[in-house]
Amino acid sequence: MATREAGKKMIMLKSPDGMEFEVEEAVAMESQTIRKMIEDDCADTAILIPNINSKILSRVIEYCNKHVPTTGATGAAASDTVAPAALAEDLKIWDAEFIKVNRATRFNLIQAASYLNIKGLLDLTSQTTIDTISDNSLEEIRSFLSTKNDYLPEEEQTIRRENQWAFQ
Amino acid sequence: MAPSRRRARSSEPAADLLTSLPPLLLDSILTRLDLRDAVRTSALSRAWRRRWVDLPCLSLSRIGRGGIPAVAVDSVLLRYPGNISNFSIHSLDTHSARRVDDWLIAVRNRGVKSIDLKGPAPAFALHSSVFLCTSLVCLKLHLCLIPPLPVEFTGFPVLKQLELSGVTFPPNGQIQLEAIIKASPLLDTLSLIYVDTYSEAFPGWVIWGANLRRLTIVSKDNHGWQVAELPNLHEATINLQSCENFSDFGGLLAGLAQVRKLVLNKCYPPVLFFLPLVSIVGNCCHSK
Repeated sequence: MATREAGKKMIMLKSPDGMEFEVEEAVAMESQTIRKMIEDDCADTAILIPNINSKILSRVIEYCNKHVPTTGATGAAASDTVAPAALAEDLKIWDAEFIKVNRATRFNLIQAASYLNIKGLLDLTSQTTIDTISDNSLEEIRSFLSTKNDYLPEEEQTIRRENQWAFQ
Repeated sequence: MAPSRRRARSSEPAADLLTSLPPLLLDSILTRLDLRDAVRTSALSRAWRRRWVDLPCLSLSRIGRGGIPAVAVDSVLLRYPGNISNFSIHSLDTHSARRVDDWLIAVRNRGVKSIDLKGPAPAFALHSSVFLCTSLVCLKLHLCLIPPLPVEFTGFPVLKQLELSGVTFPPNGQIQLEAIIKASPLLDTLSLIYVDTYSEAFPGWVIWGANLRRLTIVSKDNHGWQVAELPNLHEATINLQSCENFSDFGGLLAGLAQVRKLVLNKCYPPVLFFLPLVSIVGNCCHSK
């Protein structure tokens, strides 16, 4: 396992398109999937992350870097001087900016968060998608999801009648 | 509008960005939708037709005026076989008031985690099946007549929050309330706001709670509360409107000795169900 000057353990993550990312072990362990690999001693060399391309993996690492708890020698100073509420507020603003991505990237991030088991990122990406469904008309949702409306007009009318209260 | 609305040639409905996700992942996303939005997805396409019915749990929240109508609750409980995580009625109209008993019986065996009922005035009679929802984590009852505990009552093994306001217990209800609290070992937050227990005497019923962290009591009269050892009590708010002297409540206050934040209030005049400006008789904060 690679190590760097400050005594922090480093982990190498590899995407299937051949890119390598050296990240602190604590950052990588924001992913419960990677944490388990490290704890089971399956992470001696680089960890290959299947199905997640370098573009998405770099965004995921960016997220984990921001969300890794600030503990230990360097982190203690930061958490002593900044109130937890202010930190949480700062993270919320950062998350809102982070998730301003195109829909393909958003769905790739959902799948990456699910595979890597990063709860915060899965919550963020899922909730953003739910907000899109809640805030838009059926036509807008179809357009966002690339859903082809394969109902006959009369079939759609029947479905709307069955649960009329939901379409008012 | 989609340019073509012909019947799909293939029997397999076409997938979109969401329906092409693995089913468990899609479940975890869609269960965050509120009921109206979940049902609305049935009109998106054939692939979505019955997707909401396959979800592992749904939330029936905001039943009543301006929210989910009674007819929708009936329809969902009929079509949907899965768990109901959350059952909340924010304003019960007379039609839904007649249906609540059936709904409570229906959700009882559906893993319900949270029940929040706000009855209309005058208070409505609650069905006792609410006490058989053993998976409840949060129970809030407002403006209703509490029935006696059913004989099958075994407790609320995972209940963390119990909030009773403007409710009326049967005669000697303090014994029942004591039993409910005692049978909720994980209780973290307890609020008793204008709870009428019709007690004829003050038997000194006891509030238990090894895990209780927050306790709120708002009342017009002394209901004879005592507290057992509450080792984790962090915050207590006691608001007694018509008591002349807090020393009447020595037993209660002595039991709160280890609390980290204690707020004692007296309200003049009592305004039902609002906590207006208060004259703070005592407000002590001390931390260990």
